[in-house]
Formats: sequence, C-alpha cells, structure tokens
Amino acid sequence: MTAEADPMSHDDNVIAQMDQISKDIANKSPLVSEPEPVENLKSEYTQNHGFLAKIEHLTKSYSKIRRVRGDGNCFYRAYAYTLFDACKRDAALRDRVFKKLDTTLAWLVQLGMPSFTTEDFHDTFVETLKNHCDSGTYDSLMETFNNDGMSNYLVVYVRLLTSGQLQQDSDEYLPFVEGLYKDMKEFCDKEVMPVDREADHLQIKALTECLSFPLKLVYVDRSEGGPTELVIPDGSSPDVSLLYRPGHYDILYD
Amino acid sequence: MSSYKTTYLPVGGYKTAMAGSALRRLMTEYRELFNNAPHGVVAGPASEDNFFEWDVLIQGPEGSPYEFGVFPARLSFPTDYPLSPPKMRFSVPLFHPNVYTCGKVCISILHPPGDDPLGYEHSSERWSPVQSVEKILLSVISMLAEPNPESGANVDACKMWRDNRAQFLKEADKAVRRTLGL
Repeated sequence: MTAEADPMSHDDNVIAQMDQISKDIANKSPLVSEPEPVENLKSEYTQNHGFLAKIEHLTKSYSKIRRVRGDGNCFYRAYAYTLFDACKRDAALRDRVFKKLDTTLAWLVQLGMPSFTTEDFHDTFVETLKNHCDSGTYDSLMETFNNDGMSNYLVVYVRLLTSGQLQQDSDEYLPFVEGLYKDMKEFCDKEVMPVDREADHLQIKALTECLSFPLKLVYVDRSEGGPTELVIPDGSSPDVSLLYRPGHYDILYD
Repeated sequence: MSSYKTTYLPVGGYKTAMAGSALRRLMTEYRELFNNAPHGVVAGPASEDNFFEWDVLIQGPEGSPYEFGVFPARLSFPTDYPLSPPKMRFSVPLFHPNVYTCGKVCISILHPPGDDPLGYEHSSERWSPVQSVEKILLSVISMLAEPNPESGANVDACKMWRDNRAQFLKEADKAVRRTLGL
C-alpha cells in the first residue's frame, strides 16, 4: 500500500489538466457570442486556401456569424438558441413546439429515462421557453444562454430529446452504429447524454425530427469548391442555418 | 427561477454562476432520497449550511464479503453538479478492488463526462446529468456485492480477489469488524 502503487495522483493530474483546458476555453469565449461579420473568419485561415475560398463563397449568402463556445455542446446550444429565437418570432412554430413539449416528459420516462431528474430538465426547458416567448427580449435571451447553469440545463434537455428520438426510431438509426454499440440505448448513454459529447449527423437528424424544427448545415472545410449545404431532415425548408467546420458548429445569418 | 439571475462573468464568476442550479437540484435529490432511500443506505448533507458535502452510510450487502459492515463515506459535489458527478470517498479503510487506498471510490458512474482519460470501463453506465445520487449509491452497493477487478483502483485487492479469494474474504471481514468497532 505504498504511495507509488496508488495510481490516483497520476489520474488526478490528468483530470486537473483537462479541467484547466476547459476553463481556459471558458474564459476566452462566451457560451453564445454577439454576431460578427462572416469575413472575420478569414483571419483564422490566412494560410489555408481551401478554407479561404469557401469563406469567400460564404460571404455571398451570409452576412453574420454568431459563435458558440467549442465545449462539446456547441451543436446543441446553437440549436436551442435558434429554436428559442425562432419561437418568439413565429407563432405557428411556437404552437407546434409547445404541443410537442407537452408530450415529451411522459414519452422520455416511458423510454426509460429516470423520471425525477428528467422532469427537472423538462420543466426548466419548458418554463424558460415560455418566459422567453411571453416577455423575453434579445438581452434576456443572451443572458439565459450565457448563464452556465441555465444554458447547460437547456442543453441537457435537447440531449434528452435527441436520445429519446434515437431510441424511439432505433430501427432507422441502429444500422449506422451497429457493431460499435450493442443497442441504441448504449449509443445514447455514451454519445448523446454525457455533457461534452459532440453531435454527429445521427443526433442532428434525430433532434430536428423530434421538434420538427429543421435546419440547414453549411459545411466549410479544406476541400476544393464552394461550401456544401445540407438540409436536415431531407426535403424540409429550414429558416435557420448553422455553419459546420470540422468539429465545430456556429450560427449563420443571411 | 430567481436562482438563475446571476449574469455571465467570464473570469472568476465561472463557478458561482452554476452553483444556483446545483443547489436547487441537490435539495430536490435530498428530499427524494429522504422519502425513498434505497435499502441499506442513509445519505444527506453533512451540515445545513453546505449542501455540497454529504455524509453517507452504506450497509454491506447481504451475502457479500462486506455483509454486516456499515461503511461511512463522504460525497463531495462540484459547483456544476449535475453536469459533473460528485466524488465519493470512504472515511474508513476499505480493502476493495475498486476503492483506492485513500478511500476514493472508482466506478464508471463517478467518472467525469466524456472520454475517459483513465481508460477504465467502456461497457458500464457513465455519468450524465439525468443520473442521480440514488443511482450512484445503488452502483456503490453493487460494487460492494460484485467487485470488478478489470478496472482496479487497488492493485493488491484486485490480485487477491482473483488469486486468493479466501485471504480476500478475511481482509474484507477485517474491514467489516473495524466499522463495527470489534
């Protein structure tokens, strides 16, 4: 039972270092930033012609980008932010979303999510969205999404919805991850619910279907040609666009 | 929702901004556990002033090497709970493959989210914000009932569990007797 035999000090060092890295990121960028010109992206890629050409294309269709912190939650946070914003402005969307949210708590619990913790996230999400639609302003929305505790609660709930949809439509989604995970529940436990797991195509498709709030993804990478645009789900006509650069999502505005 | 009024503070305020939702959640969990504690467990805040430190008493599960023992432990919650899990540490020596010699419990549900830097279990349930103190305590009970030498924290205990079960049972029994003051 010597100190050397106890591997904890090493493990703790690794964890402490990872903590420090996330704090550094947190101190550098707000969870959701104020919009800025798309041109600003060019300065990040001065040496990279593939990217520069694509960003040039991007500036023709989009004027502003709203950055979202790269903490593994960026897709979910960006999606929740655009959803809140759109619900405030679009009464038909708002009705549809609230009608859906009326059913989601019972639905998630029926799928096997623990009821009392799920209820906490559900109630917070619904109440916050209601407050925003009733009396929210741009400033209060920014405040909500930049308050760590609150913002992350909202992120957890959209992760739960994603998880629910993936498990409900397991027949459709499982073939994409078969062999890697024994079932959809395992995929969700490992790739959707942990708070710093990034979203991939499956998660995005599931969430947009769950809330019937589609989006356009604009891919920018180092390959030749203009940005690739992808509408999710297929055949929908989204009002919101997210910029995807490998490993990260931000919000785009026309 | 007045607890959410704290505004975003980029430096230094990083922690305080989150503590409100953590506190609210911990109070709800305490109420829930108070009314429906799993069999063989008592848990609650160590003092009324600090909901982020809990005292726990866990009874050794029936039929396990730790039967009849009552093991005190401390749960320490981070300010961003439930996004990150608490840490758990037994306050008495507990010879067990998944408990470090300092008492810290090492099971998958207590690992921070995301990729596991320690390379432990890949098949077990991980922490996520919908887990709860109750789930952790249930996992600790099953850890006592079924040690997992595959993701060992105490190498000596792992080896003994695998190679010399009789000796292991004696060591476990010593831990039990100590908790009973025998």
